[in-house]
Amino acid sequence: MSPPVPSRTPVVAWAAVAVGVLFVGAAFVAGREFLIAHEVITGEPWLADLFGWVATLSWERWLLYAGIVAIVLGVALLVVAVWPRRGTHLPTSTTPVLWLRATDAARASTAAAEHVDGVARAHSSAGPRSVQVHVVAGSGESAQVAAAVHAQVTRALAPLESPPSVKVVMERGR
Amino acid sequence: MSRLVAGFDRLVVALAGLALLLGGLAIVGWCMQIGLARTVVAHTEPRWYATAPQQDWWQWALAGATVIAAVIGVLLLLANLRPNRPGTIELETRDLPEVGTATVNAAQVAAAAAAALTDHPGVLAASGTAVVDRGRRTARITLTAAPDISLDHLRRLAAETEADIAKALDGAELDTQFFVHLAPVEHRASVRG
Repeated sequence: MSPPVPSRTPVVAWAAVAVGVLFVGAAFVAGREFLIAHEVITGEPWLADLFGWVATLSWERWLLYAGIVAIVLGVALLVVAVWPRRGTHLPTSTTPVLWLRATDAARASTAAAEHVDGVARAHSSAGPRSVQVHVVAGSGESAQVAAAVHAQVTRALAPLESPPSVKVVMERGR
Repeated sequence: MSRLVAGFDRLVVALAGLALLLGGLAIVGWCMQIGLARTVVAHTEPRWYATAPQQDWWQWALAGATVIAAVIGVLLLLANLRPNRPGTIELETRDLPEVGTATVNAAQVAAAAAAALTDHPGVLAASGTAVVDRGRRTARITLTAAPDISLDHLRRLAAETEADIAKALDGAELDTQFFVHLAPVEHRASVRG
């Protein structure tokens, strides 16, 4: 069995830390109130006061806003709870597996393109499924250079498990 | 992060979200005079809130809330913030009873393997660390290479390194994972980087 696919810490972990801090805070408030009720310590009973205040509550406009905020926050937490972990790297199909970032696929593409005859300069951008190589041709037929670059870049990225589609864009020299 | 922690996180966050959503819906429903919400709210007696702190169960509720909130809160914080390092690995010494037990530090094994990789031309830098990812002890080796190096060449280096680690650990379980970073291309005769 191989190690798990590298992925960034899921967003839910940060939400869970925030909820954990709230729980610890709630435990502190409830514990403090318990000690006050048992006259171990003295102080204002926050929770008893809160309940007294809730008893006097009648409809006010800000309650509606508070309700809307609670709904929005609740939906956000539910979305975060089911949000999947995102993979961060592209694997090769080799043994052992090499993991590359999309940036590295772009750099490999640029390096491969610049080794092609007739290419003066190249730069690339890459996503998980596609690489776009921008080429400034120095000499030669631009269609031929583009085809050669396409072949060279495709060969360089061939070891990737799902090689991205390669698009070559010819640019005018500046 | 282990799958157990991830599942626990998702459960707690989903329950918190659900509680907020239902509370918010009840308040908004009440404000907008929706029948069901008004019935729910009508059953909440203001006097109940006023007298609750004087009831016998109040102190038990406080004690219960303290314990439950503290346990859940501390579990969430510890599980998510504790460093995820495998520490040491015990080596197989069954054939060598005179040795007793032998352990190696997983992070140091990974760092040593990475250091050996930098001897190869084309490898500009390498670093190694060890983590527990979803329950598996894993040596993570990150190597920075020249952008025109072939992935197949890097694969051969990685295979050698993996064999070295396996030999050093003599069968003890430690996965290896290789991350390749390529250096930016230095353009020939380029006008900008």
